[in-house]
Amino acid sequence: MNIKTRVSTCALVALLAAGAASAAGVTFKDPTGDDKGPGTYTYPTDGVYTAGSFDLIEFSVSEGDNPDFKVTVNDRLADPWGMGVGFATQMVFIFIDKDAGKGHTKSLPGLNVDFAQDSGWDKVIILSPQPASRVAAEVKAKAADLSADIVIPRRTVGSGKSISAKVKLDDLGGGDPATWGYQVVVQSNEGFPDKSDLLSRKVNEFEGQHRFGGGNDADCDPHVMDILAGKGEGAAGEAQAQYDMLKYECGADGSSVKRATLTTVRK
Amino acid sequence: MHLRNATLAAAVTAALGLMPDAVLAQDSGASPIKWYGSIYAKFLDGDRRTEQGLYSNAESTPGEGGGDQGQGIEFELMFNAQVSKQVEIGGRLHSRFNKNYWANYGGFAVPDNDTTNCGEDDPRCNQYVKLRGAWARITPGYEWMDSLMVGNSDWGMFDPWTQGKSRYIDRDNIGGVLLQGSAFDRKLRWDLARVSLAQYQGLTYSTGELGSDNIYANDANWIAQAKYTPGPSWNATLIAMYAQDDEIDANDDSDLDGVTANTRWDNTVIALKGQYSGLEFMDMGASLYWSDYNVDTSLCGAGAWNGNCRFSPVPLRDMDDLSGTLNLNFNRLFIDGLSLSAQLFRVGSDYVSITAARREQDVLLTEGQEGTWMWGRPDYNFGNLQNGNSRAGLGWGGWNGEVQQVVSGMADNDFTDFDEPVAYSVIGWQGVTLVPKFAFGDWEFAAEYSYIDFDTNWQACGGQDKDIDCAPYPRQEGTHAWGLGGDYRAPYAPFQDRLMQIFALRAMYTLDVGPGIDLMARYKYIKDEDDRVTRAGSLTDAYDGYPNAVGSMNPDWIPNVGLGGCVECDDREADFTTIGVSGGMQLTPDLYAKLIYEWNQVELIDGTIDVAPVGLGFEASNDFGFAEYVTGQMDKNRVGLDFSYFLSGVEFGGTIDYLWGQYDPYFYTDDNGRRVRFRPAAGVTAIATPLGNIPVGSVDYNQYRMKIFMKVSF
Repeated sequence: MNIKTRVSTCALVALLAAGAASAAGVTFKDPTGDDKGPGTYTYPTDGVYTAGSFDLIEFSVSEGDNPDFKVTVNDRLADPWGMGVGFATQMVFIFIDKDAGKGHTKSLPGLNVDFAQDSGWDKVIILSPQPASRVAAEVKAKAADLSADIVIPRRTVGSGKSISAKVKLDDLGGGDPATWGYQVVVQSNEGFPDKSDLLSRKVNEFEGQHRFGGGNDADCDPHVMDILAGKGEGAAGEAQAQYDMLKYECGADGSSVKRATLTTVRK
Repeated sequence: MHLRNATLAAAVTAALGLMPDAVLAQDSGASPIKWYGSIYAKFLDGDRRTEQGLYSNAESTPGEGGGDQGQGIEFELMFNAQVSKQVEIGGRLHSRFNKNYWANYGGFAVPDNDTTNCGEDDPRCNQYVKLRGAWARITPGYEWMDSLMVGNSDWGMFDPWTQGKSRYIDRDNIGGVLLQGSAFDRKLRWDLARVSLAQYQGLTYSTGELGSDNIYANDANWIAQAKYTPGPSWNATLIAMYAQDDEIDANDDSDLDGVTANTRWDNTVIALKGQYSGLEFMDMGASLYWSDYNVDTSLCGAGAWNGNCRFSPVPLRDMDDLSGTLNLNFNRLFIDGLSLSAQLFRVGSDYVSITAARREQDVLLTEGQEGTWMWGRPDYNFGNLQNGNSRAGLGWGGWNGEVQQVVSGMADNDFTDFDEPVAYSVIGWQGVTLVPKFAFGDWEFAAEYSYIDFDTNWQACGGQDKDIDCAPYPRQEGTHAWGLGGDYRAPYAPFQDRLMQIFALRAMYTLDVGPGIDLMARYKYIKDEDDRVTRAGSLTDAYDGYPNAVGSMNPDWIPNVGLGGCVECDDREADFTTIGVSGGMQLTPDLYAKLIYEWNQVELIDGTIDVAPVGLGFEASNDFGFAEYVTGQMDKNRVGLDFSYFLSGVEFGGTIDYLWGQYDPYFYTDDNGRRVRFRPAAGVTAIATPLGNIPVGSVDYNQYRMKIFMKVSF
């Protein structure tokens, strides 16, 4: 073993030996296997959409002035499209309800969901593998009226099974994240979105190579694969609570008769 | 109007979007056609001054040697339509660059039946728009079948070891028929496809020629896949494929009972893959592939290592082999933020999957070799403008993008730019990769250690005589796949005893200044050693090729067939070191820029001055350039600027690189059977080697290159 080999080996060992204390904050769990939207949704058929990759299993927010918002799914993240940030297929919206009874009941374009009056959101953090400036440009074009309350982290990364980003508390208007209500919406990163969609992937009646199935070809169904539900403890019954929350009705012409309406979860 | 015509007319009307929405919205489920697309413009500049195509690398199409000059624009119009509840269609109309330089003045020229002057008769230059990626998808609503797709796809529903992606030039050039279905409450999903073989997917890059009775038009890969996902804890996938290339039986001289077809080659691959994530602390996945390949051995005659069929993406004789991977992922290793991925892998030397991915997919966990040293047969010694192969490729800079490992003998990087990924074949690789990652506060760390042995470590391909025993294996361009000076799709060397280790460490930190500065530093070290011929008795067999290549031999060099019995004298050792730092910043809400500095070094010993590349002939001449003298130390610096700028509907991006470096040639010679450093005597200006008379002094080199693009999506 020559000197370079030794130095390289030592560097790796040093990395493995490094330690860190886990930060306290707030953590929510979600049951596995409920990555079916309202209970019927299926994954696209392309090989990059691996089983469990849209299955939310944990969401946590760390303490501090620059808290880490971390979303964990039930499959190892991959970057088959070369996004360069450790993940590619996922897209996550973290809706924050700081003030119960106030906030937006309208969601973001492409998700086709509303929020209940007592769960209106005040801020939403977008975790996307796309460059922040592209997400910002999409927001400007498609959700300009909500842009003041949309937070795009300057850096979002995927590692292991978790997608995370740090957001300054000031950008969220201050407060204690442990007391806030949350709704985490797991979607898929679509680099070629429909004109009405904010970089999100469509759900149709039949799944395709790059679109979800089990819904409706029109935009009357929620384009959402997994969310928090119940008490956010990961109990098996929370899957049904999710399916109930995402229930929707479409008219024969594809118009929405009843939109899926989300509530937030808080500790 | 006949009923069929009326139906067709309605479908066409719907597809063209001419039918009123109200009509479409009735029970048929039809919706208006959607049109969308992009305008993509590219500006290339550089000081290599090559303009044989508006891509940094375009190597295989006659008249398209790649380029670093010029501007051009592409147009792509995509469409899809829900014709009815059961029928959906889609496709693209696309022009592409080739040599569509703006300076061509729109391709305007008087048609002259000349395809060499980039005029109106040359489709590479005349800005034609072509139908690409057309498909129809039928969803009849049957219990047993979900959908039928007829047309073009990238076939991404399969995997890169079987039916993989093969962008060339478009991702969806390959056509076929795909049936998909599900059972057991969708716990079981299946795919069944007949995928037409592309014309190049065959022995000697051919499945026959249209019109020459090779019936290449009906060659196909049949592939079936079943995925079983009973729950979130585990899933399993079974894949079976059979690809076949037929041609007319030359001995059948009567068509009274039809004409007999013979199989030129066939290829079977069976794969079993599974994932288990039921353990709290670890997820695991495994895959096993078995391939069987049979070929009509009469096609390449008696066969020889340097024979007529040497340039082929598939072997020349029957073979079968096993390959596979085992992945263990520890998502929280002892402490929060620390994860570890481990992969055991084996790609058998005789594994053959002719439809495996040739680029844009990656079968291994390792980040592999460095793109900056890939391809390129850098002519460090002479900078000879007549050296065609040295002038091809990307020049000193290589590729900036990620490096992708594929299990294809036709790994390809045609029609790519220097900022894109580069792919190379890892047939024969076996070993282990460990990738720890650690996040702590605003710091992120990632590392890699890979230990790579080779199933292609053999002497005379496992036999006694390379010309006989290596005959099953294609040579391709003649230079074995190495990170420097080797070809990326030539996995087989006749004599190999190689070991490679990769160490990599990367740290990222976001500095909280202004909008934040993304800092990154990385270190990578690759140790690649190959003892090549390890038995003295094989030296003459190994090194008999070059002296026989009459007419191309360096006349000043005195061949030493058998290297005087010195088995150390052909050992190759390469130490690749990379140190890189970068800082990126969101300068405005729309503009992100990153400044990069990289230092790359290779210390390389490629045998003594007596060593000629095994079996290489005319290709080694300095005007041809399939091999160059690269023993020595190569240092390379890169300063780069990356930027991206987004407005609603448009993206600008670009990379500007300046590279400079120095090459110091080293010389080694045989000292009683041992390889020792050879220091030229005072006054000696050049040393005779098989690859030319190499000047003894240092050589400086540099390169400037730029790519800027604009993409408008509508």
